[in-house]
Amino acid sequence: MAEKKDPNPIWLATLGLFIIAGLYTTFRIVTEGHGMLSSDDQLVWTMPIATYVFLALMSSGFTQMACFPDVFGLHEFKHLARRFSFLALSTLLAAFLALSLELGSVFKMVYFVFSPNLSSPIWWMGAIYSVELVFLIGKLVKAQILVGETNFISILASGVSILAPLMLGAVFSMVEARPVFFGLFMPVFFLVVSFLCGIAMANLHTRMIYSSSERSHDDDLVETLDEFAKAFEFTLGIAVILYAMRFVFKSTTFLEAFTGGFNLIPLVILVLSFVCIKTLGPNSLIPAMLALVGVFGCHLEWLFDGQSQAIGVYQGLFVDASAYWSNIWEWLIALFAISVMLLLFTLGEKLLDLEGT
Amino acid sequence: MTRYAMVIDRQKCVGCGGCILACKNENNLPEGINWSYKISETSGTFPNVRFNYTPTLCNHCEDAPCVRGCPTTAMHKLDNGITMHDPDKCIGCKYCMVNCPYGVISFNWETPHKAAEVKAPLLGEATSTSKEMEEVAGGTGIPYYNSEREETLEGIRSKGVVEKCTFCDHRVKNDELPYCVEACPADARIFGDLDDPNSAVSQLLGKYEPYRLKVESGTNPHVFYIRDFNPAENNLKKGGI
Repeated sequence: MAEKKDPNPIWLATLGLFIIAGLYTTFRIVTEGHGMLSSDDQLVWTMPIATYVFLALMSSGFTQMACFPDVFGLHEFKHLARRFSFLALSTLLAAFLALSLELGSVFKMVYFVFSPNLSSPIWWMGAIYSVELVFLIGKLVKAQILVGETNFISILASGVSILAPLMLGAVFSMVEARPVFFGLFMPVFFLVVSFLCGIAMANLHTRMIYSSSERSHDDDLVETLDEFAKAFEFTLGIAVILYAMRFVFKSTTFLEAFTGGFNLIPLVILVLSFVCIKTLGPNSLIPAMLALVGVFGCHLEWLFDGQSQAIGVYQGLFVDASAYWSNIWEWLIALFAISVMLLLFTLGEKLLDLEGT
Repeated sequence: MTRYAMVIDRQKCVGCGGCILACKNENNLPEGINWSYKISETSGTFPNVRFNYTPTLCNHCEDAPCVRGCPTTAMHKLDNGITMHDPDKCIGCKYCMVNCPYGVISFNWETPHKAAEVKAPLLGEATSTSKEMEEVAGGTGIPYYNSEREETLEGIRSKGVVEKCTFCDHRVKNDELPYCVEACPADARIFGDLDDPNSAVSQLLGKYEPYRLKVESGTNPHVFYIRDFNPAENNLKKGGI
């Protein structure tokens, strides 16, 4: 294994700062409760849930790509598969961190195992993501320590990584009281953006890792990055069409729940990402960055939109949901989870051998 | 099999809010949480306007979306049809709140009854502190604490869990009426067994045409509304163009 460079101290200090701020936020939430967030009995899910969804889907995207060589024989991804498994694991841990800060009573999650409700989409989503976590650990251990073939685990992990976004979408699509979550649209959209976020972050990470190394001009790497660019552009196009369809459907339906306004900013960011691919070329980092920001914005937009109509006794009790603005604590939770993910990425690159399958 | 239900007679209900306060006392509810409440609406255009109250509470749906969606079975059905919640199992995911078509489930966003922890009196040497009031009243945590609530549920639910109306199951199992029913000065709330043809609720449902909230959701709610309060005269005429 070649000598690896030490991580940039400014980078580490920045991540450390956000993690310390996140730990302080955690302390405040544990001692004071969730009243410090911007949520209330009408808008019960806010930025921490959007962060969880964003990271959990990205993790599934990484897992799908990590399994490409073993499952679909896409050998262009072979030398990056182990790295993607590690990125998937790190991202999923960060997602669970965001979720744990959203939940009120984390320590009672023991009942998740001992008192399961098989009719609950949340139970299935949690169970499937837990299985994905186990498979990812198994895949990494097999590759890193036991140094063996990972085909069988890859097939299982690949199946779970497709099922997990579908089930996470079902959590929202099966909400009976909130039609603006758009039913069966959500699982399809989640599956598409899981791959989109995975490939966008993989694109960024791979280009940054190899930008200053001798391998930056390897034929294998150049070929893989070309494949990334094609897959990214294609998936981004589907995501833009799907999300635009959501607005079209909403604008042509007359149910009271659908009469809220439109927030087109996330969609505009996604379209801008598409424009940047065409103008700046496939090797630019800007389209991938814009796509990640746009998808995070999409998650915030549909999450708030779905809850925007006050139900039952909450009508008139709370301010208009469209007036919601994330407060500093919600931003710190999001930055905490993302910083933990990036720190794990950084430490993994320094301490582990992530080349190969 | 017993299936408890409530009938709300809107001709008798004047919207006094007595049920809301009685419920808060009986179940030790903290500030901002109301298991029983009312939807207040206005109809018409000034000067022809009226104010409408619809008393609300958990509908104890037979096919309850909150029960179906709860990942840990914290929200569950009792054999007598009451939708019950177990705070020990609640992980605070709030899915029941998002899934409930009636908006009658609340979350403990912070430590309940924080006002009761205030050490200083509101007016020095003029009013008592919360602690002094609590000692005089014999309460636990709050001056008006009702220890009977502990029979089937934590007396005061902790922060980070949801809570909702239980049809006062602790009273019902002792053959007492839910406290909102007991406290209603107009007898607008009537409680009983749907499966008993001689119960007051069965008789009322046979006598008047009832309606239920959002019945199109398929939840089969167990709170029925009958009649309407309207003192206005309706002089017969055909309208005009």
